[in-house]
Amino acid sequence: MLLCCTCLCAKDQLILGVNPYKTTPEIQAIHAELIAYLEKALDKEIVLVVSKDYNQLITLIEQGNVDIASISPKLFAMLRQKEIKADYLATIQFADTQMPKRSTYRSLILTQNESTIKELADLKGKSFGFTDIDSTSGYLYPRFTMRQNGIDPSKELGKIYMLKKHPKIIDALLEKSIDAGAVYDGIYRALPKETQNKIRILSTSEEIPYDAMIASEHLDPTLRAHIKTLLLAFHTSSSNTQSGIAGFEEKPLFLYDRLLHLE
Amino acid sequence: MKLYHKILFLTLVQLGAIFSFGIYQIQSLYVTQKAAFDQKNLIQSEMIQKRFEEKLDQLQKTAQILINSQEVVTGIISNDTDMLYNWSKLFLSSSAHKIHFIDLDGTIISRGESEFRFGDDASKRFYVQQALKNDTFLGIDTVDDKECLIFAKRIRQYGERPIGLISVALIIDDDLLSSLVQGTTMNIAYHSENQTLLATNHEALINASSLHVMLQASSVKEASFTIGLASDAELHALKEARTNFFVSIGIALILFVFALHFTLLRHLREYRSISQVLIDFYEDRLDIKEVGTTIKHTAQERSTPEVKKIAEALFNMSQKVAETQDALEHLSSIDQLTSLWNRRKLEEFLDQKLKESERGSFFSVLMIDIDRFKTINDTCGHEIGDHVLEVTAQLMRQSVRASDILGRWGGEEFLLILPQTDLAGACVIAEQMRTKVKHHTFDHYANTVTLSLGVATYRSGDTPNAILKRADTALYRAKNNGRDRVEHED
Repeated sequence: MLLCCTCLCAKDQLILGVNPYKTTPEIQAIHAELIAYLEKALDKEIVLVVSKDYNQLITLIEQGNVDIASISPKLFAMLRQKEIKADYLATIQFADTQMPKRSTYRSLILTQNESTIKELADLKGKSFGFTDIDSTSGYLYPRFTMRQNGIDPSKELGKIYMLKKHPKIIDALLEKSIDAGAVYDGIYRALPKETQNKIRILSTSEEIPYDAMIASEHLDPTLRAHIKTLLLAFHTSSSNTQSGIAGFEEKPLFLYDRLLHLE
Repeated sequence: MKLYHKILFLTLVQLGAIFSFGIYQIQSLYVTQKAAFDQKNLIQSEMIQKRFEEKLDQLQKTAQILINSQEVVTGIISNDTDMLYNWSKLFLSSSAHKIHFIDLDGTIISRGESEFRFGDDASKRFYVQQALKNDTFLGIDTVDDKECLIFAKRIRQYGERPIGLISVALIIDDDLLSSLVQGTTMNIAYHSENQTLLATNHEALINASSLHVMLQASSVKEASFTIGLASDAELHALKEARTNFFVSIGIALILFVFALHFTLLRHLREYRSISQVLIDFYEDRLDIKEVGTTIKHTAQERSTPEVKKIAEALFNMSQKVAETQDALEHLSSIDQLTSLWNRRKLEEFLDQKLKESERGSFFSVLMIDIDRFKTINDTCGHEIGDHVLEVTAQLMRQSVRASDILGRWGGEEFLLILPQTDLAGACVIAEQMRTKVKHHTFDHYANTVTLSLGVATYRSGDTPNAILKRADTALYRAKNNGRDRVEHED
């Protein structure tokens, strides 16, 4: 059906693919202003497609079933490694109450404030919650950080749970279902202060670029350039910057490429 | 056997037969209703049993569907709590309250009913141990501090390599019990060492029996389901109706016997009263007139119409008999020719007067004889003789007082008893009588008829023969002295 829509409405629609890093309604809310902005500027309908998982989005891009995509940093790095034809347009900027809008974030390893885990070394034998195996901040960076600190996450951790969504790591921590977990810093910062007080940050990663906006090479180069210009010119008008994309920024691509070496 | 006992016995036999048939009918109806009631309860019990089995089936089906999902298998292998949660929450329902995925170490990977609760150790749980050991477990165990019906099954990758467990549990609570007995008149109870639950708020089950459930032994001791009637009101009403009917029959029977007893007594007393009058008459304690009087009195009392009619008939009959008796009595006391008292009656009167005289009364007697009457008969014939006798009797009757007793003693002899009359008074009356006859002219006899009269008066200690003898002696003397005269005793 997606293919049919793409073929039939190719001239009047643009398909925007997004990773399922949050629930679909949340993703729709985050992209609502951007979609409205692009639709108005391009005079085209923007159809938002949330992929079933991270890998499916790669397939959709490879097959040219999406025109533009908001893709996770790790996936973008993999695309670049595979030399799949897709143009980097810009890196998404987000903003929250704690920090101004930014195009990079960090991965945090968290535990309960009252936990006996005081440092990364204490994670040995403890249960740990990751988000998704393809998540940069929820899987790759925390494992990279653990290895850097002498812990083999595949062998020395206790039970490992895959919770997919970052907020679930927080909830599971508070519920004491896991001893520790990894999230991106935006989730932590969005927590109420009293909840933050119940959580201790064990480690903070180096900068990780936010999702990259890419365009399929099936698109007309002029249109791609036009979209890039529009993205870089996009600034959210909403006062509630937490609820959506704040803007776009061009970042050096090595920030993405180095993610391939986290394993 | 007395009539009373006969009637009572026969009536009671008939009543007993009727009531026995009624009791038999009611008992048959009761047995039929009771059988229908029991049948309904049996069907309801089977329905509850079926519902319970469906609950168990639903647990097993839910587990099997989830086990068959490749994503679930993948989720267990990768400890993908989110995926397992998303799958299991789809299958949560009133038939599956808890769906847990457990790894081979007994650690819960995901709870369908609680997204963020996992990672706890369930390896010591009986159902986990049983499922790990025997591949499946179907029974009662405690899950998250709730006693549940639980089905646990080992999950295998490609049907071979064990990778974890699934447990689907149904909390044993009031809602579950209520759903089992919904729409029935039954109640179900769950009892274990920790709690006792009832589907409805009745204190106890009526005719309770255990639910036949094929559950494995569990760690929850003394866990059992019991079904029974929620209320025995229906059965009680049925029994009460039967009892009421029996009591009513009993009371009706007793009342009827009493009523019959008193009715019989009343009627029979009236009949006995009448029959006693007849017996008294038969045994000469009453004469016919007294019978009439007594029966009339009975008929006027508050008798039943039947008895009253009988009494009236007997009264009328006794009246007729009395009249007939009077007529016969009269005939037997009267001389047919002269219409005067006959000799038998005269003797009775004489006895009576003698008895009265013993109490201070007195009387005199005249012995009267028509002179030469044989000659009249011989010369003029018996018809003329009878004529003379008849007319002479009339003349004598005209000469006596109302209280005087005049009768024909025999042939041409007459006897006159004069109560309260002394010898002199009797002589006066005798003379008047003699004179009256002597001067009478007969219609069919041309000659003069004269009378000879002997007078005697009562003496103390007299007998009938004695006084008659003295009167007869005086008469004889009158005859001897020339007839047509009055002579008295000395």
